[in-house]
Amino acid sequence: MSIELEGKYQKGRGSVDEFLELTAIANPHARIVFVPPSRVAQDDVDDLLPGTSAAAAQESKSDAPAQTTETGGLTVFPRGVHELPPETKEIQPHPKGIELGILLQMLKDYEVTEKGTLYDFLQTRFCRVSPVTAAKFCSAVGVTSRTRASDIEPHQVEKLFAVFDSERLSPPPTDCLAPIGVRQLLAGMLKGVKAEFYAASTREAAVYRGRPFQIEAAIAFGGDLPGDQQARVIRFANRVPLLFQQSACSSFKAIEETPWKNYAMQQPRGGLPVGPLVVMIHMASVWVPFTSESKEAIADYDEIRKEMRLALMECGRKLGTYLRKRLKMRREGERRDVFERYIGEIAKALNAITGEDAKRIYEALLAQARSRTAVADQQLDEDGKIAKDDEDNDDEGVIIVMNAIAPIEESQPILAPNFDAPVASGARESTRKTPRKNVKPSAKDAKSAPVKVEKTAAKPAKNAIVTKRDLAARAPTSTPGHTPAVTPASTRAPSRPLRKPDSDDDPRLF
Amino acid sequence: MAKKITTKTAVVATPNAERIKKRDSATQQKILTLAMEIAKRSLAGNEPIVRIPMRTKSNTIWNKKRGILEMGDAAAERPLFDLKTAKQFMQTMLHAGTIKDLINAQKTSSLRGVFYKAKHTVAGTKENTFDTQDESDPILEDLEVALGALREELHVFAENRGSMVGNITVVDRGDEIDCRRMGSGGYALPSIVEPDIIQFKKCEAKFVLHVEKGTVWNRFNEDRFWETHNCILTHGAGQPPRGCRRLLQRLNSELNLPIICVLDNDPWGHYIYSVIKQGSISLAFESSRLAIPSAKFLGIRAKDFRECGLDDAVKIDLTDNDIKRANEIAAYPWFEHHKGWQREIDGMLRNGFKMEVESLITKDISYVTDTYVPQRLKAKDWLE
Repeated sequence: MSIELEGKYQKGRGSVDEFLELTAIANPHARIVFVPPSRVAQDDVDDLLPGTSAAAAQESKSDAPAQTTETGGLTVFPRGVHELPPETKEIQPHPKGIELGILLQMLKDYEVTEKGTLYDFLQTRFCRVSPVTAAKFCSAVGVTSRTRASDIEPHQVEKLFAVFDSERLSPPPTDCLAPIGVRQLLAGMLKGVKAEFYAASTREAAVYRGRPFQIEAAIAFGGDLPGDQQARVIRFANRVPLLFQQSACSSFKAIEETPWKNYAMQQPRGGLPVGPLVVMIHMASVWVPFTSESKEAIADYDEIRKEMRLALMECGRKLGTYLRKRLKMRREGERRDVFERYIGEIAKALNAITGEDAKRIYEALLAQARSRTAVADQQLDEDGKIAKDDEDNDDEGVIIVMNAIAPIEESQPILAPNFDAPVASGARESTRKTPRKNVKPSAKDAKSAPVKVEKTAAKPAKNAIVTKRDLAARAPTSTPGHTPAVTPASTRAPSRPLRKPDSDDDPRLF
Repeated sequence: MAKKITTKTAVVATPNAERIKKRDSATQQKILTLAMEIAKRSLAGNEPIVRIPMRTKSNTIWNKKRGILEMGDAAAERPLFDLKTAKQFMQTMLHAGTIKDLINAQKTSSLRGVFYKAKHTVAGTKENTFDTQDESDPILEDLEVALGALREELHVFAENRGSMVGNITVVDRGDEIDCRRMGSGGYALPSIVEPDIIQFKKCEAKFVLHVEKGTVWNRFNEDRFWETHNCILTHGAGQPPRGCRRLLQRLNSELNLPIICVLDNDPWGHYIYSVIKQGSISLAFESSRLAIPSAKFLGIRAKDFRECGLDDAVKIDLTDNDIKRANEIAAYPWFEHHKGWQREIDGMLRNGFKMEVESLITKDISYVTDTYVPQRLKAKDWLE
């Protein structure tokens, strides 16, 4: 399909660029290549489009993460998932979900095409209207089951419409909806937003005014996102980005109503949360209630806002859990550093006074320090799980990008002090001058050693929290390009600089 | 020779080497016991803890009968595995080791020396074991109370502070010092003045006049006040250090000399008097050898502005902090039921200003030595 449009090409908010960026997030199954006007001016456009077979083959082969790339003026939004979203099922309208005008129009259409009875019309053109219910409706407006639809008077239509509203009916079926899905949402956010933590949730389908709808939310936190600004809100209706009238939108109000403070975020009174956060809300519905014809904002229905809030709260809880855990690990890590720093000194001093073996005291104290701060070692579990964690159930719909987590602080590794050198009085100076023969850490030692960030390495971080559970495996199953970004257990270990087993010639020892 | 005119002569004790040796080995045993317990706990997988008697107001008991402050039984635990106390724990161990070294070497060291001896970079880090001497000094005090050993028993001393002149001859480490011939500087008071270091040889003085600071002391010394009034003149450079207080206490208890204080008329001066008399909170464990319950407060009194007809220019307004402090001092149990002191503090608060001893100079340069102090002494106009 090709359309020719004349307009002024602009960047920034509400631009084509943003629209495409957001479209790519909500449609991770799509691969979008954007050729900006500046490039079109050149002649060999077709060659530049990497949508050709060669480029596609290369994409599927490459191990690069599915991140949006911009090369040579082209912006490529790669696929995040490699399967199409399920097709939506068609359903008839629900009696409670239509307006009087539409009812009149439907009757008119029916007269033209079917010329049937009102009784039949009600059953075939609506969902959730059984023969019994149809008969009830007919008698309510004073007609029989054999009365033709064309014979219904306007005042009877109004009566019928009123009965639709008062009658108790089962809600419409919801299998007509095609949500984006948690995995796809995460994939979309992962390629569109650079962050360290992603969470997504899909609510069960719900109904407002007889129209089925389904709310999905996703959040991205940390990484390169600016930390001192209000969260960025991105809104979608049936996978289409809503760029304007943000504050008039039901989703915006839902975000404001969400208690972000409970999730370790800042939230000025009744406002958007502040921090490195992107909040994404998607409404899938057979009928999205826009506030105006320009389809810019979702109208504020209580049912919709409630669902939005619940979806956001689910994401928020995951974020809160993550942030608290990260903070705790960070604290515990610092704690152990402090203790380990001093244990060597204490062991030496005790040895000087009592003559007890310094190395034995050191090791005994070290063992205590480690068991007291065992939390900090959780990250070291082989399979990337935090064993015996009571919050394990909350892992669904979360991706954590290890190398996006900012390092805590630079500090030098603490090395087991040398107890072989004389510790007698006055020998301290000479002890320091003597090259220390480091106590060689055993394999076990090295593994549980505190992870220190090398001076030169900005990342990866210490205390990074692992990708939980099977998500590392689940999210990128169909996307081999994801693996490096999502850090499954196998790629994690080498990314942490461990204590070198043979550090005799390490200059820091002197 | 001078024996005839000597009114009081203390026993001249020769330093008892045997006694010191015994004392040192007792101290070493205490350090060893402390360290052994921690080492054993560590090896057994228990958390190492040092118990340190608390040097806080809440753990200070006012012994009304003896008129001194005493330390209570409460002790704080200093565990290693606590972020707040981990470093202090390490520092305590280091200082315990340092002191053991000092005793072994039969040397003494200044507080600053001990700080430097234990100060080094923690292995493998850029952190210092001690950053400033302010971190080190309280750890030593902790060790004193934890070990139940005094500073001199730990072979640690503080800087000399305070001076003394007057009709007394003392022996300091075997050297005879005639405090009548000390020029304008006086005899610098060492921080350790225990009988094994300093002995009183000859003393004609009838009392000790203790003034707050060196400037006032200079006035009295220049006017040869100690000569004309047959006394000993001391100052403690503000809050008197342990050496000065211990010496005053010994002069009082061994030679029966009354201690009379001339301090500023402000909460700080009142507090100095309180410390000399009752002992301080942080050194409550040493009160029995530092406090002088019979010490007297001669001035400056709140009434002096009127009685001496001082100029308005000498007034220094009380700050909010001063008022708060004054109320705290008035509430001390040893002042609380003391009518004289309640009136005195109340008088200062009602004045709304404080006065320094130097303010008397507005009357005449030597008003304080010629008129003020002699008059008050004669009238025995002082607070106890």
